[in-house]
Amino acid sequence: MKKLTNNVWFKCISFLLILSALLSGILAVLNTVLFVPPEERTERALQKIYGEAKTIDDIVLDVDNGDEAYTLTDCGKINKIYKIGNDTLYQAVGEKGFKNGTVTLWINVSLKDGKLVISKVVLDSSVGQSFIGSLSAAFFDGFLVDVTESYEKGKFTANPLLKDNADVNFNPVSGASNSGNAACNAVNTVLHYINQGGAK
Amino acid sequence: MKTNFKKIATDGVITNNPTLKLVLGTCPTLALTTAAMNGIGMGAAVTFVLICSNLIISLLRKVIPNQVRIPAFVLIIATFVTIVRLALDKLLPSIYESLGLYLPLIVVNCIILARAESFASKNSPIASVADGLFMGIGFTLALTLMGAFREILGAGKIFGITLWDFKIGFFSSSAGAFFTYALFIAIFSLVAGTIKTHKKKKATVTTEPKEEVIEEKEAE
Repeated sequence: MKKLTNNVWFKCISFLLILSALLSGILAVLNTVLFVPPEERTERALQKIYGEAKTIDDIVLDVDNGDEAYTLTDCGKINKIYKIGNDTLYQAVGEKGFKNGTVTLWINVSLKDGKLVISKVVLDSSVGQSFIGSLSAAFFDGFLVDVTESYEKGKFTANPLLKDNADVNFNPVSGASNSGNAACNAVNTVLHYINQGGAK
Repeated sequence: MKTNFKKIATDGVITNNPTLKLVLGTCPTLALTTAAMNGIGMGAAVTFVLICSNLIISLLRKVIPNQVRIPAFVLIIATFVTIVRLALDKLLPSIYESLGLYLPLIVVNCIILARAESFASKNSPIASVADGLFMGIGFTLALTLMGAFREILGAGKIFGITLWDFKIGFFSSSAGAFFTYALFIAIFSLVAGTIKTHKKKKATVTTEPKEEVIEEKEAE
């Protein structure tokens, strides 16, 4: 036993294990104290989108409540749909970003003069998109279209190879063309959902 | 042993400035200096991690086995980076979002590991905390100045406040980041070199008469 405790490698491994256990304990406590609940995240998102606190009137879909996400193969999925006054707010995840990563957007659809329009698109988060910061507010403003009029081919694209199949073509963003495409896919999923007769 | 705080301070901020002299932590320097506020946010996060990790490593320097010192340093640094992430996400979500991917990457920031290995593991806790603080200040200053330069020229703003409509898009791009970094290193080296030469000349002038006196004495 004494031989084992004097062994250098035993000491090294023991030290690392004790250190890991101590630090994990500290992090576990801090994680409990500093945890941001999903409700607070939603409130933050609403503040970011509308610039003021808003109340959700109805939850049509929410994966956090156990609902199944609306999925469009090879394009994206909708995780949340909230009814806020006359608006419908979608949280959509666009696929096929840089290195097959994703871009998550909040997309607000409003009814204006009898027409269904995308009135605001705000970036929520992204996975593996190093240059997501290159997508400016002007880029997201490109999605603000009349949904009913522009939905002939049913697509936005930032990929020049797919421009013949799209209603709205974006100029590829330098350094973030794939991230831009994932953002387009998030909006395309929402357009598809609306076209299929989803919540309007 | 008495701690020379003046030397630690000048080392961290000027003589061995981590960004402009040692050219460490270039990844966040190039990626995040699009705005001055990003520089302050990143600099504050790195300073916090530097101070805390230096303190703990210095306190444990006689306990940490030499063979596993690097994994132990990384464990300690990663813990403080996680604490910064949790705190920023809870308390300052806008800064947390703007730093994005580069916040967890502080774990592999060369400045922190380099200070742990070369300073904190060999010096007292007080000196190590001072070293972390001044290295952090040096890093923050460099990032904020570069961020302000790029924000003014690239977006016509400073700390988000619009100054004018004139913009040079190049400075907001990746190429602009490299250009700005090179420009700042050149200016820093030029200024530091001039000061060094001036000091050397001054020292030579003051020592010359003494040499003459010695020569005279030897002749006698």
